Amino acid sequence: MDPHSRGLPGGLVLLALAGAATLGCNALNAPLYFQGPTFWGTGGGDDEPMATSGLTLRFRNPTMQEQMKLAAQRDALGYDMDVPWISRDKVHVEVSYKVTYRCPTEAEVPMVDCADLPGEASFTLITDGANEYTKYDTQAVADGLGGDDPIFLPLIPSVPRTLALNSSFSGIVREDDFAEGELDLDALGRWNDTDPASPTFAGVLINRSEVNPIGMNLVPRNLAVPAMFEIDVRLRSNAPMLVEYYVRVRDDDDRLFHNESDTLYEPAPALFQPPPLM
Amino acid sequence: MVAALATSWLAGGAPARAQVTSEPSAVVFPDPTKFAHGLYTEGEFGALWFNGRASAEISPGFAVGARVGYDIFRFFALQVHLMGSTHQSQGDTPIAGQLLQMYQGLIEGKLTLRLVQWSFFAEGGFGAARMSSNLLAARQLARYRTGFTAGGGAGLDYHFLSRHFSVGVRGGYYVLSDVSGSRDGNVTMYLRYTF
Repeated sequence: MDPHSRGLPGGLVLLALAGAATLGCNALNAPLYFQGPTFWGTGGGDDEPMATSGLTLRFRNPTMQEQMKLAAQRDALGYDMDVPWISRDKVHVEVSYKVTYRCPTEAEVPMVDCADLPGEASFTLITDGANEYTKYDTQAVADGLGGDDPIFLPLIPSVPRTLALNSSFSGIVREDDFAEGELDLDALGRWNDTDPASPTFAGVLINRSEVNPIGMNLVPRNLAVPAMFEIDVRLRSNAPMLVEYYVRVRDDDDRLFHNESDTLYEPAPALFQPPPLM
Repeated sequence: MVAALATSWLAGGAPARAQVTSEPSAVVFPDPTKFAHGLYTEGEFGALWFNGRASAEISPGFAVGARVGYDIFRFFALQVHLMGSTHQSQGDTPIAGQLLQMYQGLIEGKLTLRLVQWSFFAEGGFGAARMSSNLLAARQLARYRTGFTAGGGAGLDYHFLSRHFSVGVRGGYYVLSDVSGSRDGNVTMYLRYTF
């Protein structure tokens, strides 16, 4: 060996390590962020409809080859239901939000007397949405259930918070929160068990599936769970509050629509209707 | 014996070939001409930060990079530079705390002034910078994830007594055409191997 080239492997290893680190970082973390429409919750209480803002993620249609793969997967899974194109194992959703309690301007929320605002106010952020088959709307469900006091059963609830005037709170509805909500949504939509001993509604909404699988009797163990492509953020509060949010998506198989040569996937989910109260 | 005497006379008549005719010059140690030159690689790590509008929303981060170059002359080289850095979004926004990586690839020219084991250098070039996500676009700080970048920097290199290895520190400053009103600066330490 040429004595001058003795260090060649060392140099190449150095280069390879730097290159691998760079490429590795690129492959591990490539989310996309979508800003949701900022909105004000008026703080009207339970008598008024909840303030809501929605964001629909756009996906492309599967190619012929991908359709064949979905069909093969359906056969392999063995239950007689479609395999979703926007599936939870390929599309991972998270919402980052910020709620601010301050006095709105007249243009933001008319007819608010800032002097009347309480020093502290509370809020609850609710995340609903739709998968390819079913849409869930906490407000519509509460209206459907009826009664003097509305019953709110959110798809993905968050812990109620209290805010001092002129302060804000930032939080995240994490991917695992969405994973649970997406399983519940599909259970309500395609695997709804009306057996009163283990009702899917509202059993799956109240319980975390891996802790208490009430209402999941009809759900196959090997279910390919559809992910949510429509995200609706709602605010219940007792004072006017501003909500800003971003939806973060990790799209493993590049299924989001961003190439004009592709065609847009346009599912039409059915709105979930709660059973009448006994 | 007789033959030896006869030939010693002949050999004694030959001209001397190893005579010292002048004073030797002062010894330079180590001799820089003995350092390897030509194809080289460098691995580096350090810090990278944003300047301008993006600095309020993106924190400084850890950077790692590599260069492959060729010394065309002892004082001038051409090199390819790849660098990746990782950052966190910050500030009073809903997406504070998210991770963002930036990857830069440049073609650079490098001028070197060598003083025995030390050398000073200046370098500059152009290329592309790519963000791992559209985080900056979501904050209206960029339109695309990939954009043009150009800039340069300077540094100090120390060559070991080894023919091949040297280490050094360098700093650089680059414009980022796609990140609104922003540049990036970096300081790194590196290890260089010349083949």
